[in-house]
Amino acid sequence: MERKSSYYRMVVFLATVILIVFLTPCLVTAGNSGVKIGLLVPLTGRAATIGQEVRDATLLAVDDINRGGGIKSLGGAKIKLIVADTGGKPEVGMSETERLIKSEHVIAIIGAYSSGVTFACTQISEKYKVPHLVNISVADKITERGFKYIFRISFKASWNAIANLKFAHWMGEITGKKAKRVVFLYEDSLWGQSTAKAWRKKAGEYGFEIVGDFPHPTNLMDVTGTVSKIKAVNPDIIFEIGVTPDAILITKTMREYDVYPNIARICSGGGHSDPKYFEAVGKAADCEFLNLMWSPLMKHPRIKDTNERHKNRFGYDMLDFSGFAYTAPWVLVDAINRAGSTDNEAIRKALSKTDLGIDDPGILLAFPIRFDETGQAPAEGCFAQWLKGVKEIIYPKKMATADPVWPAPKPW
Amino acid sequence: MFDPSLIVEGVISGLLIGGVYSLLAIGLTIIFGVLGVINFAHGELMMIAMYVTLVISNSFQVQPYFAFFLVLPLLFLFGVFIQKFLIQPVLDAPPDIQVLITLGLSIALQNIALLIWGPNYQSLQVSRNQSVIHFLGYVVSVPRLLAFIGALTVSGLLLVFLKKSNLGKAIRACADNREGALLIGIRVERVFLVTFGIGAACAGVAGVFIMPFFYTSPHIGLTFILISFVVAILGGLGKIEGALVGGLIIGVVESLGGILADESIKQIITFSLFIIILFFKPSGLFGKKLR
Repeated sequence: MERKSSYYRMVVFLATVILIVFLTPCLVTAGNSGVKIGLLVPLTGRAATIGQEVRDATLLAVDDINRGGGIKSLGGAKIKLIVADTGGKPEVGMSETERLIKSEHVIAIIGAYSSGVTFACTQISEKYKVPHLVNISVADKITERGFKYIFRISFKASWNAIANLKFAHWMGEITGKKAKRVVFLYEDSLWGQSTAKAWRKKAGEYGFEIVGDFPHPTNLMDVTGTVSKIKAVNPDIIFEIGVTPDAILITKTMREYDVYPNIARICSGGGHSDPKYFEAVGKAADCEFLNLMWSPLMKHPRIKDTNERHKNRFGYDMLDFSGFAYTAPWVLVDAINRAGSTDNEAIRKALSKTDLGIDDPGILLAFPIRFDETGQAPAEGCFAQWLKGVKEIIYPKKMATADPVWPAPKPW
Repeated sequence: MFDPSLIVEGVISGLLIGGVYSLLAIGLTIIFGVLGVINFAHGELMMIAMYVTLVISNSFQVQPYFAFFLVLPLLFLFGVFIQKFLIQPVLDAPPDIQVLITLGLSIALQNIALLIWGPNYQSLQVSRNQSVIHFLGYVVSVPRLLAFIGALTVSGLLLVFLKKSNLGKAIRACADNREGALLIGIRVERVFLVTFGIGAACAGVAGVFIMPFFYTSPHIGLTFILISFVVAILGGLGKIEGALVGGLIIGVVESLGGILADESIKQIITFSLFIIILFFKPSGLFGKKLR
């Protein structure tokens, strides 16, 4: 009896040892077969809500990739997303980037929303030669530093300003009703000033004559002076950029004095695309054109389907950032798949040869995703028009939900 | 660019909005003149009046001006309440305590509004309130004209009330010399209650009249408090006539600044004028001469 029990003990011990020795490598391999990608977003601080929205869309994309079989050339390896909080601060972003690379051993990084933070983080990624895909930040300089490992699918801020001019020109071409006299109406902080600067520089190229250049401070109390001046110069188009309360006051005052451009108001994001703006001014915003980064309303079956799943999972529709956030992991996975390895140099090379479009899996962006030698994709936003209280997509043409009304009639 | 008709229109629209600035500043200045208290919650009183106007106009589908009849007594009572329970107990305390009380009240009111009406910007959707008339070929906005007439009527009535009625005289007596007023048998505490009520009602009426061509949000008071301080100080703190004239001056200067320069530069013009006037008249346009 005594002997038998010690025999069993021996067997159990040996079995345990064998199990540990043989299974540990299996566990380790399982861990290794997951490919780690880092995501830098602000989850605390002022930009926290936007950070969460970006994270949600990215998570959805990663889950979709994994459910669809992971990275095929790496034997169906799954993506593991490591989310790091930048707090919206460049210095935190930098140390988090370093942590992702040195302790988490991520093979690529996505992020980091705020341009200032991205600017700093990409320096670290470049230093460690880790491919970094910029998903949302728009500051021009991010891809103008001669970096090799930085790629960007979002557009440059200056392109966005020019996109308004381009759009107005394009509308004139397709409808035959060309605009000539234009007015710039913009808030006077860096945001509005830099946009207006780009407008001034390029307006001539698109055949516009600048008849008014009207900056204003934020939280205006009275805008009657500017509105009378707009009336006096009789513009065809007003290009606008500003925050919500000022957009409300400008629209209300224009309506009060019955001042409206001959052809259209073309507004850059910010206040004019804020649902609160539309709630406050109602019908008076009708027929305004909006320049948006992206929109879940763009007509495409994949966008519709993705937005539905996004809404089911997180409880809200995709937002202007979500399209770029969702597409980013798919762009990386495409590159890793073609590289067939997790080697940084191989991924960088594959990224630089990226050629994706809306017909490729997971891509929600309308423009071709190809990177030039600076790592910049030829990105563009979309244009919508408020028509009878609904935001209708006008451009890109193949994703339009309605025909544009041009010239726009007075909405009152 | 310097079309003379633009300048005339600028002067007109400046005078019109200036009337509202005047009324708002009169409320601030009367409270300071009589009680010696700077009411930092003045903009928030206006904000509450704006929301009340909005609610009344939207729920009964009436012209916003009907709200006047509710806002006037409501804000008056609210002012009395503030004076009775918040200011009166600290009236003899150092001024910084009073500042803390009114500042605290302003923050509390902002957050209460946030709780009740949410953070969104709201504005009136009544269609008929947006129209202009042409007067001698110049465009005049009707809601602004009504605001101007309303504000000036209320200010005028208030001046007559202070000059002619017994209560008005008592208010002026308290402003002049509190101890003296007490000695001749004026019930100073009651006069203070009425004064704060009047001050609050002025802010309320300004809120009613500005609502048709403005928007409101819980933080809108901050936009207006600065301009009402400028107007009140320009006219001479405590001087009702001063606030009246000061409001019109600031209104016209702002409006002309917007036309001759632009909206960004007009603030520089306004504040430069403010500094120049105070340089020559340190106690304001209607203030006592300092020796």
